[in-house]
Amino acid sequence: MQWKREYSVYLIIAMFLTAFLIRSWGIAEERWYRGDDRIIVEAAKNYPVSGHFAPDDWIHPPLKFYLLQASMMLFGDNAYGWRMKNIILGSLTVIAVFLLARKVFPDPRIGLLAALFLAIEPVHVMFSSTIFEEISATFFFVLAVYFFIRHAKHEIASPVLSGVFLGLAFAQKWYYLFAVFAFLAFALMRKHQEGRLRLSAIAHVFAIFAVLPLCIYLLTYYPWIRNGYDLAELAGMHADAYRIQQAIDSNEFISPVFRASPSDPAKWFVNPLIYGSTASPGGPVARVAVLMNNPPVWLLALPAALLMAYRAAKDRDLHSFFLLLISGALYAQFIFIRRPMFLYSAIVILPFVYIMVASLLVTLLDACGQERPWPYPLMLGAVAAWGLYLYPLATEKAVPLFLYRPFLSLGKAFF
Amino acid sequence: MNEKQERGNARQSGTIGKRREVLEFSAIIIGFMVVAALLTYAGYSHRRFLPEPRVQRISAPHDAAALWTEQHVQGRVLILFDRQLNAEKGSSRQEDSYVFQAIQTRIIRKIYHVIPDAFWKDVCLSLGQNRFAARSGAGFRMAAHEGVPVMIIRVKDIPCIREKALISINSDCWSDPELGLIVQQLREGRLRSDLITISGRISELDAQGVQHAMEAGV
Repeated sequence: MQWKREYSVYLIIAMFLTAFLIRSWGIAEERWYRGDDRIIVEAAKNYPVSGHFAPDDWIHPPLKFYLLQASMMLFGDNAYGWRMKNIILGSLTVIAVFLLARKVFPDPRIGLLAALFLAIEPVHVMFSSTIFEEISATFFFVLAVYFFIRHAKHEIASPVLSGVFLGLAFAQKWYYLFAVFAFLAFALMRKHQEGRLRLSAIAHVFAIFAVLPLCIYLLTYYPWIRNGYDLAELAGMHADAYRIQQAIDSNEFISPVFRASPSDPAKWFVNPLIYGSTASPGGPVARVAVLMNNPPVWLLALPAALLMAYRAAKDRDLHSFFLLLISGALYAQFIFIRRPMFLYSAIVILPFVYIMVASLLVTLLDACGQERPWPYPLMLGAVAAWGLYLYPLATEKAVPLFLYRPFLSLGKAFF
Repeated sequence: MNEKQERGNARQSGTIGKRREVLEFSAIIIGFMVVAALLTYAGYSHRRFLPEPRVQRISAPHDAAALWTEQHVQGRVLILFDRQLNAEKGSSRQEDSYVFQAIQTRIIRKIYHVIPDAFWKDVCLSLGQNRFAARSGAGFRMAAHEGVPVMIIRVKDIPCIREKALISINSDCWSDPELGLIVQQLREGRLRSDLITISGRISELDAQGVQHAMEAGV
C-alpha cells in the first residue's frame, strides 16, 4: 500500500499532538512517584555545580541532569519544567517509531499501527509524565536505529548521526551497552557484504559506534572529574557502580509499588503483569495506582518476533534482522542481569516490540483478505478504544471500579 | 578503481567513500583525544595542596575537617589511620560524619582506610558479608557517597601512593610498633603527605618524629 507524502506529514503532526495531549493532561497533579521527582530535580541542580549526584544515586550516567536542567530553563522549576522533557521526547518517540517502521517496512499501515500502540501504551504514558530517563534515552536510541537503517539503505552516506544519538542514549542508561556491539557487528557485516571491508572502513565503524558515543558519555562526567579525579579513577568508579548494581535488591528502591511489583523480565511478554492498589479507597469510584504491562499487546511480542525472524530469513531482509538483533540485545541483558528489573525498564524495548507486533497484525489482516477496506480502520479503532480504557489507570485518574475489576483481577492489584 | 571514481560512485549510490571515512575517523579520534585531555586537565587542576608540608596535632580526629577547610585543600586522597571511617551520612555527631562532610565539600576524592591489625579480623568478617564490598588485593574495596572509592587495608598492605595525601592518624587505635611502621613508611617515601593530622595519645616527641619522617620522605 502506498500513501501520498503529505498524508505522512499530516499523520506525523496528528500523532505528535495526540501523544502530547495524552501525556500532558494533568501533569501538575500529585502522583505516587513524586518522591523521585524531588530527588532528581535537586540532583540536577547540584551536579553541574558540584559534580555530586546527591540526593540521587551516583551509579547512573548523568546526562539526564542536563536534559532536566534544559527543561527547567524553558518551562520553569515546577511540575511543568520537571516533566515537560519526557512529555515532549516521549511524544516525539511516537513519531520516531512511525518513521523507523516506515524505513523497515514499505507498508505504511505497520508504522501507523506501531506508533498508535506506543502513543497509548500505559507504561510509556505513565513514565512520560515523570522524570525517569528511560523515556528520553529511548527517544535517542530509536533515532540512532533510524539513522543507522537510513545509512544501511544508502539514503544517507554517513552514520555519524546514528553514533551521536547512540551516545546520547548511552549517556543516560547503561541499557545500551549490548546494543553498541550489535551496531558494530551489523555495520561491519554490511561493509563485508558490499565488499568494502577494508581497514579504513573498520576503523570508521569503530570510531562512529564506539569512540563517538564514548566521547559523549565521558563529557557528561566533566563536573564529577573536576573534583580531582582522573580517567583511571572514572573507570574504577564504573567498576564500583557495576558491582553495586549487581548487588542491589528490591528493598533498595524508594517506591513501595516498585518494591512489591514483579521484577522478573522473563515474564514481561509472557504473563499479564498488573500490580498496584487504590490510591483513594472507599467508594465505587477510585483512583488506582497501577504498574502494568498491556496484556493483549505485550503477549503478542514473542509470536511477532518469531514471525519477523522467519520472514527476515526467508526474504534475506537485513533491516528486519537488525531490529530483531537490537531488541534481542536489549532484552537479553535484562534476562541475564542479576539485579531486579522493574516493568518500566521494558520501555526501551517497546518501540521495536510494537513494530514487530504491528507487522504481525497487518500480516494477519492481509491473510484474511486484502480486498475489504474496513478491517484495518477497525483494528486502529479497537486499539485506540483499548488505550482509552487503560488511560485512567496509566495516569491515576478516578475510575468506576466495577468497569476495571475484571481487568485488574488478571494481576495482583488489590483494593 | 581510482579514488576519484570511487568518490563519484559513492556519491551516486549513497555509500561513504574512503576519503570521507578517513576524515570522519580522524575527526572523531582527535575529538576523543581532546576530550581525554580536557578531562585529565580538569581533574588535576582541581587538586589543591599545601605549599609546605605540615604536621598538626589535634585534640580529636574530627578536628581534621576544620583544618582541611581552613587550608583550602581540595580533590585529595585521604589516608585514614583509624578504626572507623566516620563517613556516616545524616549523623548529627561530627565525629561520625566528618569524612562524609569532607566528601560533600569536595575535599576528599579517594580514601585509604587503614585498619589496625587488632581489628582486622572483625573487619574481614563484616565486609565479607557486605554485598557492596569487594575483595581487592589483600584488602577490600567499597564505594562511599558520590562514588568515592574506599580501600580498606592494613598498614603492611598500603600501596606506594605517589600523590601527596592527607593523612589522619588516630593514635589511640594503634600500638607503638604499628605507629613505628607508619613512621617508617613516611620516611621511606612510600607514603607522601603535605598535611598530617594526629590525634590521641602521641607525644610531642613522636609528633616531631612524624614531621622528620615526612620531610625525609618528601
